[in-house]
Amino acid sequence: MRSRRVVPVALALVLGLSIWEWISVASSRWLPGIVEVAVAAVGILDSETLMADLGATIRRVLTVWLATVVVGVAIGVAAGFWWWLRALLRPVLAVALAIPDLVYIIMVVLILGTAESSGLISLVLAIAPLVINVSMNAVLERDIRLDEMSRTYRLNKFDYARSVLWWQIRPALHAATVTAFAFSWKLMVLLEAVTTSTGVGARIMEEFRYLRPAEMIAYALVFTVLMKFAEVAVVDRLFSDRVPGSAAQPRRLQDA
Amino acid sequence: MTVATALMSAAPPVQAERGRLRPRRAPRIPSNHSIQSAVLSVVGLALIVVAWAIAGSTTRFIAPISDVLGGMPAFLTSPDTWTTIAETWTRVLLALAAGFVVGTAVAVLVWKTDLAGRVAEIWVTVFLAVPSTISAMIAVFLFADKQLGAIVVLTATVAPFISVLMLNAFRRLDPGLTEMAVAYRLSPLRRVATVIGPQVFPTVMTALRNEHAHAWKVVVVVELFLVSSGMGFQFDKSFDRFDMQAVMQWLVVFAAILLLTEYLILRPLENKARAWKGTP
Amino acid sequence: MNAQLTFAPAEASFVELSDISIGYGDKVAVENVGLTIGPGEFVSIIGPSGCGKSTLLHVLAGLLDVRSGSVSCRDEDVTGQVGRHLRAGYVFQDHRLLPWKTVRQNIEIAMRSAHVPKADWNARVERYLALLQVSDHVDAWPMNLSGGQRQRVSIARALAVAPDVVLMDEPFSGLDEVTARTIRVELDRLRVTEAVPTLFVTHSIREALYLSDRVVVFSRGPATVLREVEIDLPRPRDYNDPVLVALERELVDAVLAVWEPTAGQVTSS
Repeated sequence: MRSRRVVPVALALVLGLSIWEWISVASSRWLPGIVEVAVAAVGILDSETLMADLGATIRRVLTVWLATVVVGVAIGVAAGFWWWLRALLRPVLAVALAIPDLVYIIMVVLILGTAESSGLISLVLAIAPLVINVSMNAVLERDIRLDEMSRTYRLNKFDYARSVLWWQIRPALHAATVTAFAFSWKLMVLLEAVTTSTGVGARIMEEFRYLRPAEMIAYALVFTVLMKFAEVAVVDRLFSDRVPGSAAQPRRLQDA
Repeated sequence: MTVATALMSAAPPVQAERGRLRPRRAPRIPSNHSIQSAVLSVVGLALIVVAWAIAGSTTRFIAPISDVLGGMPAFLTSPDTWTTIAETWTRVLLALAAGFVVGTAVAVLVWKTDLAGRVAEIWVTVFLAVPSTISAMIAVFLFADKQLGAIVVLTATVAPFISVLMLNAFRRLDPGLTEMAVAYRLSPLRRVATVIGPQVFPTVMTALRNEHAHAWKVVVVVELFLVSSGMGFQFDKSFDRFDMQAVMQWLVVFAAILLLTEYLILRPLENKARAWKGTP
Repeated sequence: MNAQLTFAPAEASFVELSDISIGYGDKVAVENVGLTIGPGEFVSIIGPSGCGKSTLLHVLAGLLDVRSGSVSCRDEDVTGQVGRHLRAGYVFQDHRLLPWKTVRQNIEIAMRSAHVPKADWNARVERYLALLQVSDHVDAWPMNLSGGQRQRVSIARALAVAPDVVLMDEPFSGLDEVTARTIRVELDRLRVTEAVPTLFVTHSIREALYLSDRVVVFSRGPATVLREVEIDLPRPRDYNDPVLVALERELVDAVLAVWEPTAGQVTSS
């Protein structure tokens, strides 16, 4: 079983690296080769500032992620139950989802100033509408016959939420939580590149400006691998896979 | 974007029910509230306008709504505005088209082949993980032709998402209908046209709607780093010059295009595509 | 040896619906209907599809309010507050068990909300699952059970909450005839020891006659009462008892003209 996994990964890696190298050569090394990137990566992993930068970035990512999930789920679930909130939010969400993330960053920084918190707020504003949408739809998709059953058996609100509602909206909330995390770290790169002087994004921007693509790619690689690992191994696992009593499990892209 | 992925890949347990009766869903707008609903939506819209008005008068950095709207006629009649819009729109459309071709091809590969499919799946995961900011920056070094680079980056951003959605659709094809197609000896072309296509079409529409919005958001970043034309570039230029009115005007046009396309073209098309499924 | 039940079953209640009309929106479902359920009585309502008979169940479950008329329980007027005064055990046509909870947990959730003391839970779960012949599945997941088994659990849940009245909404129409017949027989046997007042809605005349002490025949919607039939047969009953068969034929002939005025000569099955 294990070998079935190893072969495609190895093949993907080898092919991918070969193609990269080929492109690098074809672009007269404007795109740095694998060796160059590897050397740069070693240099970065050795540097003293890496921990500080990573620390700053991860702290910001966690803040944005938690705020987005808490605010998004709260508003989304409420909107799922209260039709008037749904109606009120409809145009607001539509417009909010239509605004590019960069514009959120610019506008919020303009209004609130250049403190770190304004950048974080702008990202929360950019990501929360998504979480709100997913949570709201999850509540709307619930089986209302079970609501009726809960009413006839006089389940109090707490028991209803815990035993009836939660299990129906859980898969969507799971997906929304993972997605929010993914957007948090991806947009953080943009935010730090454009507004701050600390953090991985700022370092990437620096290398970009000084025309050091190898270092830029190395930083991006280290950060992306780290965040993707956190996404898959930590955030995704926050919700255990099995829903009790169900036969089918949600299918993931990586399942062979 | 991933909203659709989220909703599609995670089925609530009740749907595993084998019984005859399907779960009943709550109505989006309770029928006895439809008028109040519409009113509240207008109120919501008004709130946005009010928030803007407040921001405009209290901060220096947000142009007052009166100025922005007052300057719109001149803005919209200037030919430069439209060439800019056309440039960005063309990029988005080209990237969407390319994204669909690549994304669907990859999805077919994963669905139909064994090893090649698994390798492709891994690459899709990798491309999904790369932030578009990074792709844009790499493209600056990689592409001499910046226009081409912009489209390639956009395509590389949307194609993986389309691929995931299409793969989901392929995996949920009704095996009964496939059996029927084989039993009646349908040619492959006919099979795609009459059996596979219609089942997959609703997903195509959803992918189109989601990735259209996605591409519009990313194009701003791409144009910022990569090219010196297009709406993203104009955003940045106006911001640099501290021309806040221009920033807001570009934003209004941007949001208007996105919303009009979404609500006047894409959603109706998507609803028609889903109509044959019957009311849930 | 059954464990002592420390929680006494609810006193047999006497429910009366008087001249009630029920509707929602512009629709009138039920008009000027009177209905009583005596202590320990099993009353069936039969009527054509869509005639509004389920709305009576909804009223007694506290899900719907009457437009006019009064509802009383034990001679006390509870109109408008039925939910607070009447504890119902509802058996839906589609079991409505929580698929992510085991059979035991499903019953416990209902008992908790009915304020059945925790000390009694185990005994009640065991007892009612045994009465419905599904003891073996106490820790099973609903989706691993057959339709008939799920419905039995649903009935067990309704009984376990010690209800004032049991409400059954076409509980067997989703099952195959053999399973349905088996459960009907069990329900009949159950009446000997557990005579909880029951209101049973069905479109099967024979089923209604077999199970009930009294059958109320509804007209097409907006529904009114066409007639009431008392069934004075001792329990346990035989599904093919000639008295029931004759009653059924008589009833079909009588109501067919009203339910389906366009039907020609019909011989009842």
